[in-house]
Amino acid sequence: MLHTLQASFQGRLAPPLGGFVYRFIFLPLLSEGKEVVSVHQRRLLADLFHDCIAGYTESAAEGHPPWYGSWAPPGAARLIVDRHTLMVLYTPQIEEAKDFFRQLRWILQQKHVANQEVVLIEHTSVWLVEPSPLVGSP
Amino acid sequence: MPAVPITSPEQYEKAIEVLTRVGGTWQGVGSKERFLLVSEAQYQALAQAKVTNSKDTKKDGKGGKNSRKSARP
Repeated sequence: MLHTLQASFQGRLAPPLGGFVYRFIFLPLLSEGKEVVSVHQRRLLADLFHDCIAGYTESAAEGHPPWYGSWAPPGAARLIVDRHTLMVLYTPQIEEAKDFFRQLRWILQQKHVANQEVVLIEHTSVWLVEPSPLVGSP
Repeated sequence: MPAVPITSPEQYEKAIEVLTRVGGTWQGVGSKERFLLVSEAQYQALAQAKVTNSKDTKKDGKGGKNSRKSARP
């Protein structure tokens, strides 16, 4: 399924290096200590991001400091604790970028893919600062 | 910042395995030619695991066509 997404968006979401862009952040890696997204799947995601967005930034899952998140689904007797890696991606501010991540979320929530009950992908509009000559320099 | 060229899916997966155990963040850059921009500590871990060697690593990610300037954020 990732290949279908890759074919649809290949080379179309590389961001400008300055100005308005979208920033997307996700994904949970371990749930209560159990691996949810395998190394192989992370490499497939990396391939997807190289092909469509020309790059990404990722934090080490067991890095310092680690990222934790806990949530309580309706009816649960106790909290579910997820341990997160963090992937940060920038795209142009176009609707296609949101479509890309909506479809990626759907794929990751499929039982036979990552079987994530909920994949959270944060989306914000940001401004990438352009360089400006140093004031007072010759 | 060392730039480690990615030459195969297998090498990429081994690199992710190693980087998962080392603190910090890294960047994957490029579309066709792919590089991982890593810290010195991450580079040492990758070299120890034979994921890369000094021959094919740019010790400074700047300057080449895959430099940070041309890479995406």
